Amino acid sequence: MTVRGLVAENGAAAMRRRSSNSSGDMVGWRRDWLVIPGLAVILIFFIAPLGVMVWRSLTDPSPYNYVRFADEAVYPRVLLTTLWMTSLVTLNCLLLGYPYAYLMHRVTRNWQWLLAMVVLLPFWSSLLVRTYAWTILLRDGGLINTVLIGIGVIDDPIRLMGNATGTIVGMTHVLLPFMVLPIIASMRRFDSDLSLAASGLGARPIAIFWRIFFPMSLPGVMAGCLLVFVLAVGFYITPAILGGRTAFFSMLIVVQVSRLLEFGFGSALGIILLAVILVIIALGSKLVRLDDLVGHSGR
Amino acid sequence: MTKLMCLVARKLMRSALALGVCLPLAPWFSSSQAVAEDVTLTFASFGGALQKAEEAGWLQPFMEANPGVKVIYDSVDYAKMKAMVEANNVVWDVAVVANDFGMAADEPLLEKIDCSVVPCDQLQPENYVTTGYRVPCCTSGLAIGYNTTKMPDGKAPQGWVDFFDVSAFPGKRVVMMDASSYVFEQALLGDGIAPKELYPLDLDRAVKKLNSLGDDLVIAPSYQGCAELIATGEVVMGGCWTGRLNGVKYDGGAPVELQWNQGIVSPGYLVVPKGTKNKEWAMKLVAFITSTEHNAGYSKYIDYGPANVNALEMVEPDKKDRLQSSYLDKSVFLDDLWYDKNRADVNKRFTEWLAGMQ
Repeated sequence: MTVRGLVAENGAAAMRRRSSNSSGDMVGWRRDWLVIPGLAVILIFFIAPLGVMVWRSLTDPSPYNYVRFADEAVYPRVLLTTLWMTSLVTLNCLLLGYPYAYLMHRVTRNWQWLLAMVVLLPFWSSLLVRTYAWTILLRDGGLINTVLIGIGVIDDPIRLMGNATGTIVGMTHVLLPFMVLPIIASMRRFDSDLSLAASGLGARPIAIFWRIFFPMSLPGVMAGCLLVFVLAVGFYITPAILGGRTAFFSMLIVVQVSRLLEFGFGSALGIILLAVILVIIALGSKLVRLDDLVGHSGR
Repeated sequence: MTKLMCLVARKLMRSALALGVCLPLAPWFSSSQAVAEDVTLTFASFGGALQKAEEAGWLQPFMEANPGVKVIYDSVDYAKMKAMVEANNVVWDVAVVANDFGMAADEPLLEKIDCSVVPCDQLQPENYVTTGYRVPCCTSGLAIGYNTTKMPDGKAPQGWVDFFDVSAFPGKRVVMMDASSYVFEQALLGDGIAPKELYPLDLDRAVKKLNSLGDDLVIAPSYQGCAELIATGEVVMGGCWTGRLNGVKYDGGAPVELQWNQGIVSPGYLVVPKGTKNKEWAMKLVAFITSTEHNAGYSKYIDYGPANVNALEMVEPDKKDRLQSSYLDKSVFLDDLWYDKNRADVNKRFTEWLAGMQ
């Protein structure tokens, strides 16, 4: 059997395991009843307000809100900038997150625990605090510039915040766990017998990594990218503090709603952002099983 | 009265019987007492250090003067106010807003201020524009703050023209990060426009002036960050809120000085949301806060000045130097009549500028 065949076989086995798992012990109707409270919460607190927003964007004062978005060059432009910066953040998270997850996968259990703590630590402090902490490192007189000037690498401080750099650094830090966790979940599913088999068949470590391990971790990579991208598009606090002269789409919405009280146009901007996210999720879902998003291991 | 009778009864009988007598009597007597109403008012403002000053300077004295009236505090948010009025469920009675709220566009959300109760004519209507639905309560604003150790041989910027003069004052400058911090006004004053001729704002000219600073222009990460960048010397000067500049100067001991000339006054206004259940008491609270006696009351606790012209002299002498209201003769005032029609355009232009469009 070829390595490729082995990979396919392993995948199919995982699928079988999953399908046999999903039909639980509970009788159908009793299981369905349990859905109702959760569904009610979603309906009342998410779907209904969303409906109000859609209605408002079309009637306050009119559907012209959407024309206005397209008519003024600045709004599409800010949306594109936001998507571009979000892509960069996702790429950064991937470049940092994948090796980190791989390291976590390879080390012993104690080290694994430590590395997981390190990546999860930021979750336990406020977003605002973390973002302000970055200003201490990134400002002109901050730690990084002081050290670089001190050891003679640069003469004048380089601008690390108040521009796109600051936003991207800050957001990458905040979103990194969302990349690492799905990737590590998908690496855990990897059957180490496959590597043994491959090396038995004469594959070198590099080949085993690129031709077997990496392709099998791709579902986690895709899930991580999708998660990070979707979360990043709606970011507000980090770009507002570290971004300086950069406009992020969420800031436009805040100005419309809470400064100018243009609820209709603000709603329209929100709906447009939501539509963009839905399109991304729709495209992404062709590549990602939703299971991978929540790190479900299938075992 | 009730209390006294009960005390006597207790003294006489020294028994549980007294309680039996006093409790049923209590409602009879209290209804005949002076305080007729039990009112709870909600006062919404910006919170933080301001809240402490407003509570100590205005709300506590108001409650002492009106036993039976309780004032509770909430955080103001224009969008919340609009939603409240639209839903006909108004829980705020008096709100503090900035100059960007309360003009004609917002009249549907507000009760007209009752000038038979409120001393409207003492509240400098020539400086603080109103259409009758708001009154100024307080003044703060922004000014040039500069780091004295970074100034070339003892010189100091005299106004916004100097602010934009990088050859006379080399180094970086900071401005704040939103259109509501009057960055365009600073640029146009810097381009030599007289304060009286600022409006209508020439937005293109303002953007051009800002861009002329190139990399020497820094956008503050926050209002506090604006003053801190000057304090640490990362920038040589900046246009920041004077309260924050005073903070780093007096409390932080930083080598920061303020140039009050051409400071831009940003008043706070009081409004009464439409549909409040306590309109009469709301007007009384507005009148209390803006009165000659009490308007300067909160300046003891924060570096904000009064708006009542008669109260300007009533701030404590050692506070006077710190308050925008002490420099009105050299200050710049906003034209909110113009802003009311053009606020969306100003915000859009600011976003365009942030997004790097010309």
